[in-house]
Order: sequence, then C-alpha cells, then structure tokens
Amino acid sequence: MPVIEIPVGPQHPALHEPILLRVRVRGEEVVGVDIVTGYNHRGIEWLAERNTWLKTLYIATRVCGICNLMHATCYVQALEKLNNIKLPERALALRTIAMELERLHSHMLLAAVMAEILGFESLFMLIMRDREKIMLLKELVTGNRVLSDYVWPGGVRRDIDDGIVEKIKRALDYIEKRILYYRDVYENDKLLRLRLEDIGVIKYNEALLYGLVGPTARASGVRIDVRKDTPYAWYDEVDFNMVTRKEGDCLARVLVRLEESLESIKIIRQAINKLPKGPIAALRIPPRTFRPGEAISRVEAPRGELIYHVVSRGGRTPYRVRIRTPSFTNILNSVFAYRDATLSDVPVILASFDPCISCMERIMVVDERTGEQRLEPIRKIVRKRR
Amino acid sequence: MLKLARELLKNLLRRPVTIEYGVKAKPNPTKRYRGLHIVNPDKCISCSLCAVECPTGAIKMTEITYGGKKKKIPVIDYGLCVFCYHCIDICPRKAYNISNEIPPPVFKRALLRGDPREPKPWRTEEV
Ligand code: SF4
Ligand code: SF4
Repeated sequence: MPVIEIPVGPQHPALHEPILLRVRVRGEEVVGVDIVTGYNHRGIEWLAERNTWLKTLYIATRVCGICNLMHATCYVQALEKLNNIKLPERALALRTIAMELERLHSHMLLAAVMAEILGFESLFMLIMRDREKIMLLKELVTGNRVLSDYVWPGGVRRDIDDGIVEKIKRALDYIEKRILYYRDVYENDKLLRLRLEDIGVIKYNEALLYGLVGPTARASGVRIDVRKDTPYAWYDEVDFNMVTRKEGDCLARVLVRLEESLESIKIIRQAINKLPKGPIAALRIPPRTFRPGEAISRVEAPRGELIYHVVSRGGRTPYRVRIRTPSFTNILNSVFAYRDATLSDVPVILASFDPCISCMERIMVVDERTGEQRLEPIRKIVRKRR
Repeated sequence: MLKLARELLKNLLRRPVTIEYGVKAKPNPTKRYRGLHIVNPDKCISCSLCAVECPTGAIKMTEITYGGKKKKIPVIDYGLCVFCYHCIDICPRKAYNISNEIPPPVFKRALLRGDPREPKPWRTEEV
C-alpha cells in the first residue's frame, strides 16, 4: 500500500490554533509525522530588546494568553534577581494564589478541549461552564479574567480583602466537587477510555531522553516539577504532592492534569488560610533601570517548565530576553508518540500535550546535507538569504 | 455515563449560562474589573509620565482649555488601550478615575476616546 501524506492543519488541527502536522499514512496507520510551525511568529524577543524594561513586562504577558501570569512572573523574577529586590511575604503568597488559579483554569481547559476533540460536546460545555467560576476568581484577584497584568518588579499590584477570600473559599469547594466528578467521568466512561487508553504512549526513558517537561513528562512517571525542585514564590511554605502516573498514554496525561488541579486547590486553600499580613510590594513603583548582569528564572507553567534568561547591560532596555517555553520541547520533540496510531488519533495525541502554539514559534533549521538541526534567530536567516 | 445523563437532563431546565453580547446583554464584570478609565483634569499635573510609559502608546497628551487656563492632559484611545492600568498605578497624583465598564461595541473607533471634556466619553452611537 502506498504511503500518502495528509496535512492536518494549519487551520485548527486539534485546538483552535495554527500548526501544521504533515502526517504520512499507510492506509489508516500513521508511519510518520512532521511538525511545521511558524504561522504565529510575532518576534517577541526582538520586541523585548527594543522596548523599555517595564513595557517588555506587558509584552511578555502577551506571549501566551492562557499562562500569561506565568510569563509575567517569570520575567519579573529575573528582574528582581538583577536588582536584588526582596519581596514581602504577602506579595509572594498572592502571586502563588494567582498562579495556581491560572493552572487550575488551564488544566480544566485541556480537559474540556479533549472532550470536544473526542466528540463529547456536552462534557466540553459542562467543564467550560465550571471553569468560568475560576475565571471569575481570577478577575476578583487580578482585575481581569484572562490578561492579569498582576505582577511587577517588587511585588503585586492589587490586594485582596476578606470578602474575596470568602468568595475564593466558597468557589473552591464547588470546583473541587466538580473536578472529582470529571475525573470520575474520564476514569470510568467506556467511550472516553476507548479513545484515550494506550494511545500515544510515551515511555519513561523516552520522556527523559527527549527532555519533555511538565504534566506530559509526569504522566510518564518522570518526577519533574519546578515548584518542588527549586521552589519559587511561596511554594516552599505550602504542602502539596507531585502527581505522577506510570501509563504515559493520553488518558494519563488528562488524569495527571485533573489530579494536579486538586493539588492546586489544596495550595490555594493553604495560602489563603495563612495569608501573611503586610505590604503587597517592596517598592511603591518599580525601578526603571536594572543593574548590568544576567539572570535566569524558572517557573512551572501549566504546561511545564518555563525559563526566562534576561541579560542586562544597564540602561533603559533589556539587552536580551530569551524565552524557553514548555510547549516548544513538548510538541517538537514528541513526534515519536504518533507511531502506531491511526489517523483519527492524531488530533487526540496532539491535544493531549496541551499545546500552546503561540509559545512555540521558534525557528528550527535543518541542514539537508548533514541532517544537523539547530535553532537560529530569524535575523541571521534573513541575512543569509540576502 | 448514567451520571452524566442526569446532569444533562438537569441542564435542560436551566437558563443558558452564555449571553448574547452586544445584542441583548452586556457582560457584567465584577467591581474589581479593569475597565474604562479617564483622567481627572483637576488632579493631573501634566507630567506626561503615563503617556511615556503606556506600553501601547494609547495615551496622547492633548492641550485643552480647562478652568480658563491652557493645560495638557492625557487623552486615551481605548482602541489601542489594553487595560493594563499601568498609567493608573504609576501616576504620582493618582489622577485617574477608574470604572469597571467594558468598552462598548461601536462602528467607529474614533468614538472610543477617553476625553474628559466630553460628558460621558465612552457614550456610543445609538445603533
Ligand atoms: S501621570 Fe498622572 S499626573 Fe502625570 S500626566 Fe498622567 S495623569 Fe497627569
Ligand atoms: S491602561 Fe495600559 S494601555 Fe491603557 S492607557 Fe493605561 S497604560 Fe496605556
């Protein structure tokens, strides 16, 4: 039987985001997948070098809509390292609460989108309805349901009062019940199991070998979580478990996320119960210049480890801001997960990595003669072609 | 499966959670929502800090006659504004009035202007 190539995407292959999967199939069976990105490149790092330190904060926030607070916090943490700013306890606790709210809604989104891709529209609607409760909490804490613009160098920008704490507690009780229920649905529904179990298996050593991060790696049994490995914000003050599973299939990746949502609820509860009193920022307004030097900051985003490398030469603009997003490794390095799948499984496997396309628009250059692959900035390629 | 069926039946009797934005209803944000904001010319000292630092360049310092005197105040283009509230948080005089109103749907972007001279600057055309 001949091998034919089917393009999946670039318009909305699984999620409503632009990415192209070139799937080679023999009959129904997938024999190879190439991932083509670049439909969403916005030159964020280039922009960062040309805007002031604080304007770059708002650009970093807009790298990704779903984990915008993670990007902002990661960038701000790097700046705080540069200027050696010590944060008050309350600011750290509030950051932790806001970040966990973000993880909660991101994980629920994946569970919902997964149901939609499997053709289970009513489950999608139900999860999205309950997710709206968390968006409301995020709006109460940060000021907007999606783009939080909540942190800046020195602390956070808004305080919460007892009324909001009460609302968070009440909403979390409800959400906890619902997440337990959805976990039950994913674990026990026969149709969902048929579509998810033993599909797109990633083994433990493969996850290690290809450097997968976040829930995708944890679903294969790899114990990797920045919150545990190098605690930032207030994560060393709260008690939570790292969720791992052994199976490494699509179902495990969904269940790890749902169980992590329960851990997030636990973290938020602890943080609001022992919320320290005091100021919410170390400085009234953030500094406009930062000392020369470089700083690396790591944050566990909903999809995995997020790294910002900020280089400063003093002055009003950053010299270099390098962003390394989790989706970048998770999507580009996981083509092997599609082996032995059928064509209809391809969107399911892609969605189970919870891809964030806007996070992974980097350029990969493949040298056809030597087969060598390397990452290059656009500018260099443009220069070469001239 | 049975459990879910019960849930779905219950939902049949409920009102829809979604709203028809711009047609029948407006979203109803909480009090803490970062909505339309506008400068209070009495408090503003025309330092231009907000216009310089606005990440999208939505603020233009405009000369107006206020209380018989010429004065430069920031006028906001809500079409460009991303509602980050940086201008509000860094203003040395806390000169901005804030609200939780969402920018209304309009046909012309020029209508979305935060100009304190107009009685209600985010007033929309009757559509
Ligand atoms: S920062 Fe405040 S005082 Fe300065 S121009 Fe803007 S509104 Fe006026
Ligand atoms: S809220 Fe942000 S984008 Fe809007 S005018 Fe103020 S600084 Fe500019």
